[in-house]
Amino acid sequence: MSGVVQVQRQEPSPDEMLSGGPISSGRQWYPAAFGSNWLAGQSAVLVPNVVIDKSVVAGSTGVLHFRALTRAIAIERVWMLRLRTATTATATIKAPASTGASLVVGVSPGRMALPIVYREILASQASALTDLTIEVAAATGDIEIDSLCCFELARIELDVLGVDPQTERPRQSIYEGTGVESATGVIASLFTADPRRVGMFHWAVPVITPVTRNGAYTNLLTLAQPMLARKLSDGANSGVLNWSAYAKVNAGTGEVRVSTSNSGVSDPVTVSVTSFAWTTAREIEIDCEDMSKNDGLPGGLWDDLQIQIRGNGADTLSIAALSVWDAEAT
Amino acid sequence: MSTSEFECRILTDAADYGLSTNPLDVATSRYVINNLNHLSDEFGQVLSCMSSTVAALSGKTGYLTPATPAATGVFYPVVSHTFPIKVRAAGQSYKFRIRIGGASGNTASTLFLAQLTGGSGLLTSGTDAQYVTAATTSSTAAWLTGASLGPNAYTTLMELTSEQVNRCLISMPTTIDLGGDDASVQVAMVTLLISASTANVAHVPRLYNVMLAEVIGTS
Repeated sequence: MSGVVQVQRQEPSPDEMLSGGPISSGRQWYPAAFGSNWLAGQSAVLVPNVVIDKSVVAGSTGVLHFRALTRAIAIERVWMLRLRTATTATATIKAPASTGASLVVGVSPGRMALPIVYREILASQASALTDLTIEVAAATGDIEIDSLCCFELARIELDVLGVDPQTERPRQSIYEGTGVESATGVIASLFTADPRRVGMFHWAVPVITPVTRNGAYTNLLTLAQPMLARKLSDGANSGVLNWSAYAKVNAGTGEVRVSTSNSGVSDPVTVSVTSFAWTTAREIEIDCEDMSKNDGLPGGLWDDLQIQIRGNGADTLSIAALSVWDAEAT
Repeated sequence: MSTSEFECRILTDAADYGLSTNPLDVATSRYVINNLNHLSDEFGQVLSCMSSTVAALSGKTGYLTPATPAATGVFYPVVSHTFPIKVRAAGQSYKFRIRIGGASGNTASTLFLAQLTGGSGLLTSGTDAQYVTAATTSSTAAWLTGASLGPNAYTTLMELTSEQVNRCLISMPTTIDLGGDDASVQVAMVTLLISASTANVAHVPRLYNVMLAEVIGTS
């Protein structure tokens, strides 16, 4: 058995690690090996469930874009979609859009209780800022894209970062070498693991039916989106997130701006391209969790994020997606 | 409190480890275990971020509704989301921060019910896996207050017991590694089902936003 990843995490207790006392391989490092494998190999959500609520008419294709920093540990992404139609329809799904394997599904009326599951098998492993795309082609009948999510599937075993729990047994050498074994292995795994809360927020519509704006700033969301970053350092009250918009203008310039209710963010970006593209990723600093609170809310408050858009003068801004993700190294 | 001793990372330098001349003392060991626990605590994910577009921009109503209810005071499904969750050492879930944005159709008293369900049917009623909002009669979108229906009566949280998580465990197909042999991986897959009821079937509830995110909590 090498670096097996369990579904259940381990919570080794530091309470028994006292000066002058023994550090037990069985009581601390053995569960720590499973714990570090869990941390390195468990799933991360790239796109939390979002409601699309947009139609793709028969014969056309709806492509959705999301942006996030993926994790190198992943070998497979899972997309879960809910589609519906008025009578009957057939859809072809591909992820990534255009190049992914085709999955043909029948679509039924009414909101689906169970989602369609699409496996996106990766060709290589990499942590990269990625344009995550999925297309839904309405082969027959009009289709409504109800909602979807995307996550990196958990690994069952780790070759690179995995710690073999057998190397933590009593009388095994402890702290020897730099390989992924023994206590050193747990430490090495922690330095290279990537346990981020990847997808923080996404808003998206099919590129063929973008939201457009000509005129002054206006809110995109009915209610601002609650959000809190991870708390990483002692005394930290905030965490850094990244955001980017998938937008264009017909001519001239337009702007997309994100702002927060509590942390005072107001971060505009100018759009001047006339074909859809992601704006340069920008960092914002929002409130982080308060670990002493049961719900993690600092001061009992959420930090709510609002998106505003405008087209300058007679220019029209079109926006098809906005993504907020966590890229902070741990 | 959270499972980490210091409720944050203790910053360390990779260059200080891995050589036989580097000591592994009690303090270092405690820092390592603390960091493992803290990073695991903060590994909770955002699971749902349903956020409606304002009607003036979307060309749609900006909200989701149940199919026209046939009766008053009965919960009808509006939307459901499925996602993998993290499982703690004792088998229970992390806690889930829940927030529901909704409104009444037209001053008809409206309630929204959130339920976390698993692969083997609906979970036991009257638990913290269910959360119901206070009744609203406003037709303006707003974040609604509410409480879970279990013994903890959380006002901002939901939670699954170890028994409930057990019912959510499924096997999903995968491979051992990139391009490797077929295998299956155990995942705790949960569906969040949002339902709504109204006091007047002519005025259907309006669901605008749903936010669900894992948090380790303090208990």
